[in-house]
Amino acid sequence: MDLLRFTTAGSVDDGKSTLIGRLLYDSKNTFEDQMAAVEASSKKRGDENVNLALLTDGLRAERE
Amino acid sequence: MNYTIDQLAQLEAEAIYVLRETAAQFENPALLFSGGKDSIVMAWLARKAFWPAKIPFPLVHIDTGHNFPETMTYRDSFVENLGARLIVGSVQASIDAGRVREETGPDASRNMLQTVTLLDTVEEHQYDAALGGGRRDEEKARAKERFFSARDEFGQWDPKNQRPELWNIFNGRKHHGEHFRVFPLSNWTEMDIWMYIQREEIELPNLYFSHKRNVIKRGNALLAECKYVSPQPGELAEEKVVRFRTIGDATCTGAVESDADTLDKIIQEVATARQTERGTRADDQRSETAMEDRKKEGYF
Ligand SMILES: Nc1nc2c(ncn2[C@@H]2O[C@H](COP(=O)(O)OP(=O)(O)O)[C@@H](O)[C@H]2O)c(=O)[nH]1
Ligand SMILES: [Mg+2]
Repeated sequence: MDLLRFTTAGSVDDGKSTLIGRLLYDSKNTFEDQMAAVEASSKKRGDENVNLALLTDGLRAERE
Repeated sequence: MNYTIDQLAQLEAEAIYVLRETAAQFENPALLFSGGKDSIVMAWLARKAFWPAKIPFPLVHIDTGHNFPETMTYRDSFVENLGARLIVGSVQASIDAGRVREETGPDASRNMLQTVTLLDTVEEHQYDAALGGGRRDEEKARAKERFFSARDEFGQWDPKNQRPELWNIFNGRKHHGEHFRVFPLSNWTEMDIWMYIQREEIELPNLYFSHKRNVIKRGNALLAECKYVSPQPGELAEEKVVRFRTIGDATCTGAVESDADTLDKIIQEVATARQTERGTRADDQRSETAMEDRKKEGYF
């Protein structure tokens, strides 16, 4: 399997994390326990839908 | 001529470069060795990096006193075969000295206590760099940490104050009393580790291969019944065919049911796994930023 290196560049809140999260999700590169953790965090934060940005935004500062 | 190297060879070259850069930039580095597959691979790479000379720094094991006996046996023979020097930091000694207080209750674990022992060991031996086997796919906080990770005088990590690492330039400059954590395996995944172990024919503790064992189901985890873990009221120890995907403190490392008893079968299993390997670690499930919070305090 070949490795794909992928970079995003943009301002704060341009949607970088959401895009990467969505690509990971669509390419089936997420695990069940990761998705469960993201779903639980989304619910806790009051997000309407599962927030796929949380797949990459692991640090407290990024979740603020 | 077309010269390409495959993914594993690239990762190997990168890790060896980082190990050599660590030896070059720091006066007194140490390699943190847990007896798990990542630190085994890291030590293996260190031997390659400096061969035919010996590894120019000691292996440091932070011993919780709650290790699997198989880990300890493996550790001693691995270190001897490597011709390396072993330093042990003992969590039990930290408890006896009153540096930390043992957790109580059914979920008690010495995992958190390791941080104090680690920082005390770093200070006692005046290590200015501690090499760790963290990988990018292990945990979201680990994925955000640099190869050369600066720690302040209290050993703490500040994710908002990380240094840029452009191309192959690593900046290990520090003030007196500060140290670095260095992660040569930053870009590796669990699968890369297994492929490399197979390619290099590295011997592993037999805990990684499928075997029969008495286990206790607690939360999502199957904990091995042992001196430090016994069934609580309402729990039952049952014999199952299991193996470990990660090896750490026996009180928080869960087994998985598996009949993978060879490297080929393990690789097959990892390729189709639906859970990350840390899905079996009770220590990561304490909160959503558990790893980051521990790292900020000085954890591995
Ligand atoms: N309408 C719309 N909103 C988006 C889109 N992508 C991201 N967002 C929202 O924009 C905000 C910032 O997204 P995030 O991925 O965290 O941005 P980052 O700071 O670049 O990582 C969030 O509230 C997202 O829900 C999009 O394609 N359309
Ligand atoms: Mg973002």
